Amino acid sequence: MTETELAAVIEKAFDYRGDVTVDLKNGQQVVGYLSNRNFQGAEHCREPFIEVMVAGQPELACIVCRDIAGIRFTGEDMAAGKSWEEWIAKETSKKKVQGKA
Amino acid sequence: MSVPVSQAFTICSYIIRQRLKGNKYYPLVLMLEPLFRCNLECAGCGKIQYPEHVLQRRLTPEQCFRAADECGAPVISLPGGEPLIHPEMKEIVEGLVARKKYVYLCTNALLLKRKLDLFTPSKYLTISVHLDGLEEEHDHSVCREGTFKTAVEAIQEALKRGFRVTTNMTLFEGANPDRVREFFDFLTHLGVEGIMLSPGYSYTHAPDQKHFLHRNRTHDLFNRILSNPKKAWHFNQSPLFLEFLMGHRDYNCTPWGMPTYNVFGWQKPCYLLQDGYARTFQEMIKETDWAHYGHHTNNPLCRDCMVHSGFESSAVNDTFGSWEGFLRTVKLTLFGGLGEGYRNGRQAQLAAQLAASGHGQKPSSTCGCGCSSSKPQESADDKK
Repeated sequence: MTETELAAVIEKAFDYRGDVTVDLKNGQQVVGYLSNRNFQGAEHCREPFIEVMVAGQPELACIVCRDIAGIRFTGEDMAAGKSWEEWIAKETSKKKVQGKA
Repeated sequence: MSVPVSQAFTICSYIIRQRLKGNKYYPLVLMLEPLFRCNLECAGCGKIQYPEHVLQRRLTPEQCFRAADECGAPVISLPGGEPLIHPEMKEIVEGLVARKKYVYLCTNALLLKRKLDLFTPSKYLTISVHLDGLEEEHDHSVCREGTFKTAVEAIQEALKRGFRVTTNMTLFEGANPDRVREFFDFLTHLGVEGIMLSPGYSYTHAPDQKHFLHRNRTHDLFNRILSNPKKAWHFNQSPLFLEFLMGHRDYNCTPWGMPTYNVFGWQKPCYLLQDGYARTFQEMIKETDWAHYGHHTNNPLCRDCMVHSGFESSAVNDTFGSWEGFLRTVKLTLFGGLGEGYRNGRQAQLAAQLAASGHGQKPSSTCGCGCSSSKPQESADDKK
């Protein structure tokens, strides 16, 4: 994966409202919610990195981008299937059922 | 206008101190989100769409106090999620009040009545109840019947016990100005200290994208709502911000004026956009490319935003940054008259448009959708 491709998948994962699996170059995996990406670096990490909120771990996992082999979208997208239209459809069918009862 | 003198004095002296120090990036209100979990699932809200383990996260009282101390804002808003779900909310509020911060506990009030015993009335604590309109509009907005009645009962109980109570309202496309004015009358009769208003913002993740307002429609809607305001109505916000919503004043955004801290850290650049997080307030201020945000920059994400979290601070800065702003604020606070005296303002344009389209002298009854066309309003019933 090129740097550009990695940056693009990181950006997509940052916008994704579900957990992802980060595959590291050393063969390890980190599973969690990708809450932050920073391509400039910050005070606590001077090179491009991502932060992942891992279930059960109090601190965010900070992973430098050069250690990442790939990112997979493995968790449910919590924003999917919750459109306004779907809510209206659900309400309408609920009201129909109530009307029949 | 309704902000107690002691609170106004605290904010005023804070701003003067910051200006004397030459500090450009000072915050006025810390938006402290102690959790994302909510007991409602409103179609207009993108804040709650996270995996379960993220929704289970909460800021500890110590994290809240550290954030408050770090940024130093004199006012702290506690939104969420629903803050009353947080099991340590009593400790959080007590700790912030002990620091003499003016705390706005923003709640949908579903749990308020039974949690009131946790709190003590104080001039530093305001319970800010989310109400988007009268019963039909509010219940529709939050996607659950019965919430309006529960919230109103809780407000009555809180007022009876001596709490400061305000309401906060988000307006979307399709809002009916006449109904909103009726709603203000209702709140005034109820006895709340003040009303807070803001147009909604189209979060990228909010499912209900088509009902968010665009800039000109926002001006028209707020003109219809706020022109000729009743003297009994009290707004718990800057009158210049209200004139901004009406299109009589133009401000650029002050995103650092209301910084956000939550379980991910300090949010960049503002309460509404998530462009990353920083570990400290100073790092957030230093790292964010502020020139990239605000509608004057042509950033498409900021184009239609007129939300209080970006512009209320701009309005307050105007009050203390120019004699015109200061005198206008004093006049509006003491004598009222929102929108008066703007011959070339949006209100005049709107009146001309209405006259030309034959809408006559009572524009708010002809078109409730907030636009200046004669398109019939899509009512709550139509949507159902």
